[in-house]
Amino acid sequence: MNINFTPADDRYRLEVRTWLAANLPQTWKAGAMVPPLDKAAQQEFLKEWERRLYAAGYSGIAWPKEYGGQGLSMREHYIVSEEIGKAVAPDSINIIGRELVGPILLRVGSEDQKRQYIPRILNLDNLWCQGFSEPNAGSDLASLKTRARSEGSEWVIDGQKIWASYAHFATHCILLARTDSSSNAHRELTLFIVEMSRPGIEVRPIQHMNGKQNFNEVFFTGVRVPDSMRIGAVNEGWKIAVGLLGFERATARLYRQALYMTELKALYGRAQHPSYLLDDAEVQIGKLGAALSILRYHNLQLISRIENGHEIGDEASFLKLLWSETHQELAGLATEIFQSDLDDETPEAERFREIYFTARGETIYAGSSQIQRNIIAERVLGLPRS
Amino acid sequence: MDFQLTFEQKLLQQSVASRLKQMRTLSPVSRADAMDDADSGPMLAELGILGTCVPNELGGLGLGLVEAMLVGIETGRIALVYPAIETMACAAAVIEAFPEAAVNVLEGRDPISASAAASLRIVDGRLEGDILLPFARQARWIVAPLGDEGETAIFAGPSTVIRSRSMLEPGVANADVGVSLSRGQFRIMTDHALAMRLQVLRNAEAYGAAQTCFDAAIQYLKERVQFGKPLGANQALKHLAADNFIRLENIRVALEYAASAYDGWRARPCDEQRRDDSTSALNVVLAFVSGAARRVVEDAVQMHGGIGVTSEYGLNRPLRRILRLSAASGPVNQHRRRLAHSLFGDIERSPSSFQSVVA
Repeated sequence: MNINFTPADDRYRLEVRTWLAANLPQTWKAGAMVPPLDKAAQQEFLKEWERRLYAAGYSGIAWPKEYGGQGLSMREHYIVSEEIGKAVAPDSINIIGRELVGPILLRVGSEDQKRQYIPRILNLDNLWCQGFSEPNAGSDLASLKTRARSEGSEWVIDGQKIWASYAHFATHCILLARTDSSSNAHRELTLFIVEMSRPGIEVRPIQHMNGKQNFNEVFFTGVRVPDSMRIGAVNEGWKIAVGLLGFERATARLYRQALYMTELKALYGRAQHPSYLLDDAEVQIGKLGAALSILRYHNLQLISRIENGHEIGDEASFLKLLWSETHQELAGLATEIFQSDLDDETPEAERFREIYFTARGETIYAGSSQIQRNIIAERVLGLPRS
Repeated sequence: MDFQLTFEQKLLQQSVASRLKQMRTLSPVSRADAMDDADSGPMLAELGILGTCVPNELGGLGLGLVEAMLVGIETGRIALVYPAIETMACAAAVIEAFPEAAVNVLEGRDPISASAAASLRIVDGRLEGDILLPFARQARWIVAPLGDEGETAIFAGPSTVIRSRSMLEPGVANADVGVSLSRGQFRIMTDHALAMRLQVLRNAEAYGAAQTCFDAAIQYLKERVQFGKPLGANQALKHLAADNFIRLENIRVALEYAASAYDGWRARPCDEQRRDDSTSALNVVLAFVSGAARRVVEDAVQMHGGIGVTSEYGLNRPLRRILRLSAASGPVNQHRRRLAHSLFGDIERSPSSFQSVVA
């Protein structure tokens, strides 16, 4: 058991860190988030950043070279993730492409689909949104009702999705629809690629309590999709999506530990300021520092397990539970440390306001904390279903 | 970087676990409890584990803190009433100070105990003072801190027992011991690493003790039926179980990392980065493990309902073990504060904290 990285790893890390320091936009370093631009300009800013990251070779790290990836290992992916998180680099606007579409296509997509879509995820020519949840199918996703009816060489889609992040500017949607209504079981769901420009698609924004328009309702009325846009076999959609979700969630969000540690460092800095009030802040910060250090250890162990060829299953559920709940505690501590300064117009106050409100959703999306606990109890500990 | 137990390490843990399991699983505390596992010394010696951290050339296994931690988890699992972790942590130092001790220590006849709290001083060449020592009755060698600079006093037991307490953990004899020794009867060594080893191993035992109680609770949730269904079918209990699973996983990975970081440092003792990583990792353990382990057992008692609160069922000895070990680890808030400083203390003081963190 060895926790030390090799000199080659350390050189790679330094290379990444140096590039980030030289290329992160100046406003970023002052703690400002996306510069105060209008929505369209903000999107361009984020797109341009991700394209630069890709051009420098720091995107699609563990994806095959033949489809535009870097063809490196999970270890390099981890190192880049950690440095990006530590530098508080802008969030990806193509998370759905990276975390869901890319991995799914690489696993079960056709050769044509891989060649068509993987490079365009990386260079952001395509931007993706996710069409999974519905108003009546959140945690109980398998009960979703959006239908895809077969008509010759096409599928006709009718239904409604909700919480579709990025749908307001996405070019493509990865959609989970029911292709067999003989029963309600999850054996009758299929995955599709849907171009957002297809007639019959309507996007309605939902404002997040953080004040931004992060997600949307998406209505599908008689939307026609060629069979070539189907991903994987008919009625295999659930197995594909769910089978990948655990692994992907664990590996695509590795940057968060380092990001949260930087946020915690900022809180420590604030707590050193003479005007500061909360007297046991350092104890609280140390407590969170222990939790985030432990999260890092789990990440290292995950990477080691993957490198040693182990399958990652339900045990990755608790990683999501850990980072989301730890982040909420951090956000709570921030409100205690800032007190009424949380209302300021400074970049720092704005950042922590956003952290606080965005964190409300973190324990809900990608499997709520309650669902994660049920998964651990039933699938890992073997407790009987209710 | 390969942060997984090797095949050999897993094998070591399994073989120690199955041998110790033969002694008992849960550990009841009875009224007239004089239980001590004093004669487990030779059995542990047979497994070779007393010399886990003693170099080959001195008769030991020449292994690292990771291996000692794995053994400590297992001795904790049955709340072994024998100073196994203290002996493992200190054997190399005792043998270096008193080479004649080697055979009897490694063959389990002369257990070593280590003091958790001491006020010792050198007065006119004599070693004088008081120490708090677990397993005071069994200890044939005693290791105690002298001041704060990593100096350690090593001397033969038994010394004068002033007051023996077994209130918390019967059979352990956590005693106030008076020390008054002349030059020649003791040695002083400077070994910063020894205290680190002891701290990791104490917390490893706490983890093992907590694991036993959690395993018993999960089994109980599956077997016990009320309102026509097993207890474990109730979501409230599922979530309590899941939270404790997570707690145990967090403890495990914190211990593994700290032990690994320590071994990495000892392989290159002059590497300051490795020394700092080891110190930081130990701070994480001290800031987190004992409180979390106690919580696991408290919840395990809760999950058992009435029988959990009895002496005869056997959750209380592990709980008592954890309480004693926690006290030896020191106040959690102190460690948390120190961890905050070690993680972030290099920050420039600035009202705009982000400016100083994103370089």
